[in-house]
Amino acid sequence: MSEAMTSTGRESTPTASPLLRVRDLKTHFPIRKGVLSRVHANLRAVDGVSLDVATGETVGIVGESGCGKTTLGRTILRLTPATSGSIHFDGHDVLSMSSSTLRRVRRDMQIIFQDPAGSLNPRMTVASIVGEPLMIHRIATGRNMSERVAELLEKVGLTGDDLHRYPHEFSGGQRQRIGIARAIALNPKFIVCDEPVSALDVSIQSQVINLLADLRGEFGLSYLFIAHNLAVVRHFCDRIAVMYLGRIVESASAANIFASARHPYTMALLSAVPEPDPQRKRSRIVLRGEVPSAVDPPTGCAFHTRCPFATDICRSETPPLTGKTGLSDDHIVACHHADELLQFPASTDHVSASGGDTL
Amino acid sequence: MTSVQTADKSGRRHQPLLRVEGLRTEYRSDGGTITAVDNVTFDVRRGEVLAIVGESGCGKSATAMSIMRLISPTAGRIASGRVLFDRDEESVDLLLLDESAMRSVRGQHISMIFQEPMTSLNPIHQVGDQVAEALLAHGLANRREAWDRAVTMLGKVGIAAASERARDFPHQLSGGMRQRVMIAMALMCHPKLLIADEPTTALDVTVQAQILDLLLSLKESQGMSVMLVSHDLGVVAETADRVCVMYAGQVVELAPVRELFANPLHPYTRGLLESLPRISDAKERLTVIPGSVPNARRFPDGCRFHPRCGLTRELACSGNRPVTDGVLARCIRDVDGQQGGSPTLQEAEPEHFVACWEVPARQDNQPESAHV
Repeated sequence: MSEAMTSTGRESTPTASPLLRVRDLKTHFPIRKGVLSRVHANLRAVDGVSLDVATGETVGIVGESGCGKTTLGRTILRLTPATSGSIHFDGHDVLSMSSSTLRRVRRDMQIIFQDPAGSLNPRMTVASIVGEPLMIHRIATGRNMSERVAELLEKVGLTGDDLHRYPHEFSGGQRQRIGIARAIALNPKFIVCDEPVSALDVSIQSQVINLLADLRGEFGLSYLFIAHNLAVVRHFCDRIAVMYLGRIVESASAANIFASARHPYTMALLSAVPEPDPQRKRSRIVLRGEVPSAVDPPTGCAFHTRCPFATDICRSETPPLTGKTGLSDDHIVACHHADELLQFPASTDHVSASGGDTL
Repeated sequence: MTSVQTADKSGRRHQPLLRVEGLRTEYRSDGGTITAVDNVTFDVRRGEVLAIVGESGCGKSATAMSIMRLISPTAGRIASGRVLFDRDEESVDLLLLDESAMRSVRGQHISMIFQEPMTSLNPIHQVGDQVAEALLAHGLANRREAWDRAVTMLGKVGIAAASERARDFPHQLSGGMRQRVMIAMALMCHPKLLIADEPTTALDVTVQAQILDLLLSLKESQGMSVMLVSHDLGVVAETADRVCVMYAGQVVELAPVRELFANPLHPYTRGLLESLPRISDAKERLTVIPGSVPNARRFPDGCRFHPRCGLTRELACSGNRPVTDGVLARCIRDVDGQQGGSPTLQEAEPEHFVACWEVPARQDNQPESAHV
């Protein structure tokens, strides 16, 4: 089935044969209670996500904490078991593959974590941290391995002298570089970056983002870039998907999300980001309340409890994620009122500010 | 000193609410002492939001903790300096107060809120009791009154159904609600100064916007000053009146917010602003400040920013300045040729202070520069 999809896809458009194809993915965590630990309820961390990532493309996932972005990334790599749906990576069905196939496919899909201190073993030297994937996949040993590790360290801006040092001897930014060196050790095609710069100092963030961009250019990597910093996502990603309570509510090219957001949640999110420019006074949509619990999400459109434009239909029917008139082809929105909301741009400033970009 | 006394006579409006002078705070560590705050001087004026901005380890939180005298004696000490605070129409040096006098200043005159509300709230007490506690501790109300005023304050900080929420325990509230409770606690005694240490860092952007709006409206309605400690230049740009930029334990630049963002003078501030990705313009590649934030155990000699400074390298390459080891000689030695001195804060433009050898001080009005 996936074979058929990819072969027909190649003839039409390049986006039709994505490297990663996720369809209606659900990841629910059971909440158990009582002596028999019966399943009492389900926490719907990811609740029906469909997503494509093309070769060489960077897709950003944004949303508030608890919207399921991290779980989505982990489920795609099968680090967290999926409840239902399908994931195809490079022609392989990720959810049904055997563990030996999975191990082989994992060479091509890697992850970079938010907290570089917590994701590196403090008892291992840099040489063994970065060399471990090479050893597990029996790609290099002995002399070959140290050469390859030194080469990787240089790629990420560290030196061969750092080989025998331990993670605590490095700064936060350097530790994140070690995490990146480890992730690219097996020449992957796809990397999930889970908040890769959130824990870093401002002056270090730009260094790491530039490094990720260089690697993308050099190895033709695809990224799923999970972040809550919208400015970083805007800078780094080709396409952006906005998540709310386990679902994608809007997805478009990075420029279009910022220029013509149509979902009220996206608008509110964009207007809430403080911009480092005191001259600019913006109209801000301040949302009331916080993200509701994913155990018992609101009926209909999950956003209706906080949405300033919600009506009866929003409370009863879940809006489909579809294209709308007046939007570019790749721009999809899940909102009953998206057509009417054209009259309520998130902030005139955003539209005019992005007007100079090539859209 | 003189400026404070003259201000006393000429009317209090122009006198700052808080004046920190030459503050120096040291922490003990395995490898000797670490100077986390080094000769820091600034004012907080009446009714303003002063932002202290910097990266981790630059000493911004240590400065806030020193003002409140919350540095644990086992961890470190305030080595020198003065913290002049205008308490009930009289200027007092907080560093000279005895512990009981200081305790009455905390909460009553100066309050503080922290980054992580969960660790600052007591998990086994109802939030209403915790908010009321400040009044009881300072003997300003009896139990019932204190509870009622706590409920009113919880309503003021935007908690719906405050009388019921007051009976909740911290774990029953969301992160944004907990931060509102912290703010309510801090405001119970109507302090004149609120020190907010990264108040929104642990919150989502939409909740952050709510909390910042709340802080600004309370600042107006309560007529207080706010000292906002933050690493987020976006938050600073939107909330502060003046900004104090710290690097490696020192103040490197201090200016009104519009002036700072429009005309940053210190190479560090310039680098920070240039390195930010911005929503409104998509750049191909981000500008970077090379290297990393120095470790407090071994700050560089001379200007502490010189190993990462673009201006220094640029000028050194031009060849018409004295250079040592590829760096401008002046950046690693002070004027007297002594190694290790850092540049001091000087007024370069009206109201705009910067600590950089390469930025000339304003010619007229020189004596003013000694008093920020």
